[in-house]
Amino acid sequence: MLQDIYYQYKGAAMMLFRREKDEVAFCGTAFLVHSDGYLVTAAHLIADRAELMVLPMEEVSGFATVGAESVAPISVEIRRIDRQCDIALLKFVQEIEVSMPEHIMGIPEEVPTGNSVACLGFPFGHYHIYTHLITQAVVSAKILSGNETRIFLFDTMVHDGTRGAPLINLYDGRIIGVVGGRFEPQELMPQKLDRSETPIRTNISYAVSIDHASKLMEDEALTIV
Amino acid sequence: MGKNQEPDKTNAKSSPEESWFHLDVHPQVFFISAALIILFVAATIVFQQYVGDIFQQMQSRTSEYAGWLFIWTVNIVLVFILVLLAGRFGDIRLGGPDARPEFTTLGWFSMLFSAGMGIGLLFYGVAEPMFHYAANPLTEAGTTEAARKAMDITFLHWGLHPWAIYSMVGLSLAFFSFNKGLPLSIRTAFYPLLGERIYGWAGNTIDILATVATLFGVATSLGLGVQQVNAGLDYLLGIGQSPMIQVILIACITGVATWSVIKGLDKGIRRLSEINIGFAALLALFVMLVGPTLFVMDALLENIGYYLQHLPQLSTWNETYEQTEWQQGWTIFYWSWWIAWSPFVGMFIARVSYGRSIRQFILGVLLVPTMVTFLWVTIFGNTALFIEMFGGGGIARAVQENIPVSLFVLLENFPLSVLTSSLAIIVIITFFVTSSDSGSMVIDIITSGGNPNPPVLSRLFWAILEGAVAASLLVGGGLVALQTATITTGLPFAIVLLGMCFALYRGLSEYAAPKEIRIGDRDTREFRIKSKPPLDKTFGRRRLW
Repeated sequence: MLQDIYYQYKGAAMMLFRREKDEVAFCGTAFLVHSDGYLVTAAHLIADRAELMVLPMEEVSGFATVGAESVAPISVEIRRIDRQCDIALLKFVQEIEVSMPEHIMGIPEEVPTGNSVACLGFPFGHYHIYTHLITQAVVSAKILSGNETRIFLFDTMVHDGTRGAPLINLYDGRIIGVVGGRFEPQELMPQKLDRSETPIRTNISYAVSIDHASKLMEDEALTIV
Repeated sequence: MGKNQEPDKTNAKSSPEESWFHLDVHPQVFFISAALIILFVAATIVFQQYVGDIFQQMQSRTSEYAGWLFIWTVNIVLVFILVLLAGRFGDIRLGGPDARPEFTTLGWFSMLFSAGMGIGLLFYGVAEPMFHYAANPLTEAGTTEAARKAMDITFLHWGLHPWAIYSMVGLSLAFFSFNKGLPLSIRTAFYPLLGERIYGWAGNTIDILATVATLFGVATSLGLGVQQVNAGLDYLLGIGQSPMIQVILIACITGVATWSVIKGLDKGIRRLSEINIGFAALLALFVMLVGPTLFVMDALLENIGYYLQHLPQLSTWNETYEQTEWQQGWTIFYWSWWIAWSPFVGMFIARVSYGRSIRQFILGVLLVPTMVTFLWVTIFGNTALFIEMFGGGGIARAVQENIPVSLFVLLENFPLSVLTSSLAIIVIITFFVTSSDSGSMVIDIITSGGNPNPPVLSRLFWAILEGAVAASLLVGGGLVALQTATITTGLPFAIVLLGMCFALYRGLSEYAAPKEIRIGDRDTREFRIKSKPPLDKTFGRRRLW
């Protein structure tokens, strides 16, 4: 099943770059969600008004080199952004044909705790390693954050570059969340804790439910199939 | 008219009832089928003896020379269906991932059981074990071993194999029509073989043949069935047996069936099927309680165990070394009978199974009905065996004389026989109505070019034509001849079934294969990658709340 999911989504998960004059800097992962050329990523990756670009991984077979000096990314624009829920909806600036099966958006409400999930992102992009990695985890909990954002906790340690990657339900192969980053228990309940307390390191990460992205897509008048 | 050939993925959803006079049919299939049916009925009545002989010859030749092929086919289909049940395609939903069932599980089950087995089970539940007990080629007649074998053979004929055949046809039609967008029609089963040609004359021919075969199948069963009902009524009430009474019975049954077909699947056919299953359950429970309860409960376990242990052996047994001809009249006859019925039953099952996953479908169409059949056959068959082995006897003789009456002879051996016999008559009649209305529904769907909610006028036409054909054949003669003709379609369809296994597997593999997401050509320019250190100390942490 993981092989099928990797096969399906390997072209959908892309590296997200920020353009800085004639150079680009890696910021995280974004993924295709709609055949009209829409992508979703985590809003916190987009700090300023810099131009954003995405790049799918090159088609390779077998073992491959992972570094690169220069890349040819595609420009994207921000269409909608929800800072509260940490979701951004991007769109290709140019018309690009996207082939995509129907039914890739999952139903987070129906995903049980304990369900197996996978995430597919570029964890080590900041270290100039431009290859995506698929990792498997289980949904450890489904919680509401302080601002009522629906959040999946899952038991794998995501790295900086994986932020904005899709969280995929292994049972039906549909996207159920957008990876936000590592979960920090102190930050969920800050008012109860002494500020100076040492951060603890968990191997638990979180992803924002894809519902929040679907809402942005509906605002764009996109039909979600 | 006749524009229903375009794929329409939402076609299984109930659409608002169309207006009464709107006749949206496939013109070639509808009118040619109707003409052929009338022609056939006239020809059969005129050349009765001749037609009867031809089909009788065909049927016995087929059984003699192609018996091995039938046995191969039914076993391959059963194994194939079991593989699908356990395999990776089980989660595929008929109608796409977001489809949801149209009917409750109980309603769904009632409909497919009423259409699939129906009336035969009622009479043969008593009669068949008695026949095998009295004579079978495997053991000495009348012994304990003969009783065991009698139940085993009956289970074989009514158990997993027929339901596997129905599942196979139902699954193929449902998958290719609901998931692939082909019309819900018999021609769809030939898509892997013929491709786009199913929309041309080849497809029309197939649908016309299916319509004619289904109508004759249902009408002749109705015609022969009312004779049995009449025999039963005569035995109970002494009203005599005459074509007049039988035609009245046909008129009543057709009337109710027509009403049910016009009301539609959910309001008519489903309700009647549920009522029917309710009455049947009541009758079975009654017989079990007033009959030899302990014997039946013991037998159920033992029969199932014996059947499962001997399934590979008995289902592949081919009379090779015995060189007898017993099997032609029984096993091979049943196999060709089930296969000949399978387009009709399969199509009906497909229509009502929208939104089920393949695993649910096979559990519901293969295993549950098989278990219910076993329970039924055990209650009636073992009760009859009990009387024959330990009681007063006489059932075996009654069976040899008159199969329908044997059910009532059986009921007379127990208390409250007036009540049980009346209940039995009701069950028989409701079973007729449910097989008649589902038959009409299938014909309606085919002749409207695969529209799952066919126009009301066409429903009325076919339901009434069915009764009319049954009545004319009853009065004019030729019921048996045409029924034999229907069964001879089993051989060609057996070959189609094997092709369907292959086609369905290929279709499912293709459907379940992951679809790559990728983007097309784009204009880009090269950028150097700026070396930038990883985010300081965040190590993936974000504060969003």
